[in-house]
Amino acid sequence: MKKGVGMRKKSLARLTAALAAPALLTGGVVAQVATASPAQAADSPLACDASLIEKKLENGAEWRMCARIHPVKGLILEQIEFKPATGDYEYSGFKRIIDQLNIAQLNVPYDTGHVQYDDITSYGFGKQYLQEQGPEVCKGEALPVEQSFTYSGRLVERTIPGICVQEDPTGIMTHAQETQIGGGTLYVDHGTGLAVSSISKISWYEYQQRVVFDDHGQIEVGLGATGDIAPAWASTNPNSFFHNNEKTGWPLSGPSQVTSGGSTQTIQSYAASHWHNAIFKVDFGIDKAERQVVEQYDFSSPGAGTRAPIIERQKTVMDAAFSSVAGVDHDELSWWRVMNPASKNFDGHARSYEIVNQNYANKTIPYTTPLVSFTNYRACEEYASNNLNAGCPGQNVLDYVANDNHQLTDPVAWINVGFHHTDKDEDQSPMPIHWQKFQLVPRDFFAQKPTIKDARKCINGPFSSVNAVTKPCTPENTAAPKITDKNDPTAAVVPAVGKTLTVSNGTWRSAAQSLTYAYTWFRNGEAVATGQDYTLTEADNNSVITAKVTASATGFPSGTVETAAVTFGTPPATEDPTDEPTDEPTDEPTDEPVVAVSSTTAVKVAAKVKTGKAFPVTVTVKSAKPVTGKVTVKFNGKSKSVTLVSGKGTVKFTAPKKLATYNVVASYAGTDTVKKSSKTVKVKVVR
Amino acid sequence: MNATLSVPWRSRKLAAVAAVALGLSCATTAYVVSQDDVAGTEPGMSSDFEVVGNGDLPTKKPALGADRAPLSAEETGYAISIASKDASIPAGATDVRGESGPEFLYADLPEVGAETSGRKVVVALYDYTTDTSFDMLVDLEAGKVVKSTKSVKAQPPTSADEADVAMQIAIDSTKDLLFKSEFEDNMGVPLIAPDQVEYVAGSWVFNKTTSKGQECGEDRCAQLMVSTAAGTYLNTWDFVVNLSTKSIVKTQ
Repeated sequence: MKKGVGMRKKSLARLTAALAAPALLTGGVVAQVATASPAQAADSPLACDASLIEKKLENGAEWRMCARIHPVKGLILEQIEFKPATGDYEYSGFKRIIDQLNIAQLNVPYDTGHVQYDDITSYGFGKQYLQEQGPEVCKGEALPVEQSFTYSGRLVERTIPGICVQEDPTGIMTHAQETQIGGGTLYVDHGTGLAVSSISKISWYEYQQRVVFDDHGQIEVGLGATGDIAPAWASTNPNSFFHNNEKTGWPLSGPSQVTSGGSTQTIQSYAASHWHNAIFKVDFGIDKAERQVVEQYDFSSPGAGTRAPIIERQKTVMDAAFSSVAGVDHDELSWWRVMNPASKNFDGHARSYEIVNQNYANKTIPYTTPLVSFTNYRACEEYASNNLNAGCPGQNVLDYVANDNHQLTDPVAWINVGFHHTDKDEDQSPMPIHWQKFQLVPRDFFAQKPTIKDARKCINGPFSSVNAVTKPCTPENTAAPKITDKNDPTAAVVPAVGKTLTVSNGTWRSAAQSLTYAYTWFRNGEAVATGQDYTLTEADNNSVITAKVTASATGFPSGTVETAAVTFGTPPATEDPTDEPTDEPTDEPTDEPVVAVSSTTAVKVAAKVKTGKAFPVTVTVKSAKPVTGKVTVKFNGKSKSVTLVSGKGTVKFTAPKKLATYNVVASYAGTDTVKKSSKTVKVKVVR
Repeated sequence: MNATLSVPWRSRKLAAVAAVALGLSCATTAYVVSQDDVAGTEPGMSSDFEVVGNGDLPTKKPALGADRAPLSAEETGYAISIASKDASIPAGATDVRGESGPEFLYADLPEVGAETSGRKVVVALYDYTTDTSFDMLVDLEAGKVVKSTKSVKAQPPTSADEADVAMQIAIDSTKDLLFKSEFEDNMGVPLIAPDQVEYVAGSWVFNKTTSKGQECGEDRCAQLMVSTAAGTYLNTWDFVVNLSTKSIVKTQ
């Protein structure tokens, strides 16, 4: 037996059929296959203070990252790391996948040809464009975002709930029924994902950036467009959002009356169709690689097989920066992956993530023509077009590819997710959200499904059939092993000093092709020897002798069962062990009733405020449990309260005329789970 | 995108006690100077931008966050203060209103892939005197600029001040701008002040799709998006505002 791993309690719903397996002493121990993963101790926490998101999902998988709002790029996610539900079975702690993920351009050209917008590089998703994640918007936890800039020569700021973090169901992740027609075991589990999102409003369009990290390690990056279609008056001018050219739009109403130059006419207007050309930048960091490899896979048929067309896979290692255009450099079946050749799962396969981008690219604009481009990371290359970095200003992704003459070892993917929107009646105000998405999918990042259950851990590679009843992963004993006299196996055992006993293997069922057996002998319950045979000694006189047989196979959990006892002489009297638990059963849950934990209230306010001026008072309530509810702040006879968001809330007062030192008293009323607390600080009103 | 301006920008400098909207979002991102807003009924924090202290940029080093923590307002202000005074910024630098010192555009952390260490900030500035943009890498711990990169091509998004100036130039222009006649046709009154409309302004760079406007990119230009208070957009596709020359550029 190799290194054992403790069995985890599973959330998998096991619906076992009436044909129950016999109760046996099967040990929950897995003989783990070659542990190729180096136990990296580099699991230090991410140093990003308030922007840290660390979340354990329902199935036990965990994600962590730093999330903030960049003034131009909007939602920016850094140092994205995953720990599977199976814990150390795959690798210890968290493992890095991506160093940085953000939108790098959003180009919106209208089919009328009269205007196009670069919503990122001309406006940006941060600053005043970021929308508040109030409780009616964010159903999960909203993270505060502090923003500041200068206006009319003065520094201004705001802190709003700006990033929403919540766990959403993702539907059935697995449904596996063992037998064709009922019976056996059904393995079904429902998944969840950690959704990190923000909303930005650029003119009539409002965009939700939403990245979902699911409990199987997959990442889905989405841009949803809502708000309104471009609102305008009907016009005979083709350079307009409601123009009279049928070919570049869609009618959303009956005819309209148009007045211009004093005359009125009736026209049918058309809402202008348009593209949303979104390009995302993904800076890969698979297991914090020193060197990563990008591969492209294409599929083609050399001809017919005996009963179906043969399809062959072709791998191309991409040695240099490239852009890939559909129909030219790749086709519908092609895909790419980013691999760390030095990081291998326990099957010895290099860990990688695959890019799944089933969208189309706008081929009427050069830099939006490739579906994907790869370059080596270069700090000045921040945006997919109209680059804003002074180090390589005005450039676009095609320039980056052209200028990169190094071997491709530090890959950044520029993933083009196009969406062409032909408006329809139902898109009228307020417009329902429409999505453009791509996925980053683990490919051999794990040796098995990262939620694998013990009952399926033995399935790794080719297998005949496994089922919980007749061919279980964990060997199950169907006829117990038996102790006999070595020299006369058919006779009843008559114990005597010097006599050699032997134990049989018993009968087992298992999905393993063959099992190996190990034997341990016990005297009065104490292990005394190993091996299939055991010769009785003086010490065995007046005792009970048993043997345990362990059946195992590489890559499988093992099973252990004990023989019936052989009695030698008169064993010492022992108290009868009881099968029953000695504790009285209780109807009550044994959990303690909910006890409120303490809280502390802290107050942030300027030490001095000017008379007549408004000043903010920020209250932060901390506790071991989530802090919700309201805090009330009293100042100079006035009282204001505010609902806490992430334990924080701000109210404002105006400093009175009288120059003096005043108390500011903040009181948190507490909840069922968090006790109340308060804090008093002083503020001096000065001229 | 829409600015709600209750005070024209020219008088706003004097009107320290006026509540004005900072213009660029339909969510009427209000810029409250001294008006108490109604707390108590609002969840969490207000969405208004407020003046930090007396509005002066901090010149003393504030408490610094972890390397990859988001910037506090104090850190941002301190970084702007250090970057704006750096020797690499020309002595005669001016902002969009022609006042001394560069225009502040945005500040944030350097990219994680740039592998900087310590508390560093990139501050983007624009000097209207030389029409140059600057990326200033500021070391907050040391209180100094560690790298200054300049460009005559980079055109980051406009500041709120630049949007205000662009709108005023468009209104003051004697050129025949479609959106002004469209406004008058439909509203029955002429457009004479920014507070009659809502607006945002995006930075605009010549991209060969228009017949004119080649100077935009080296000059700093803004494209206005203007709507009526009811949210109907006006035709502003026929021009952009050249903020460097304070003039209208007809692009068609």
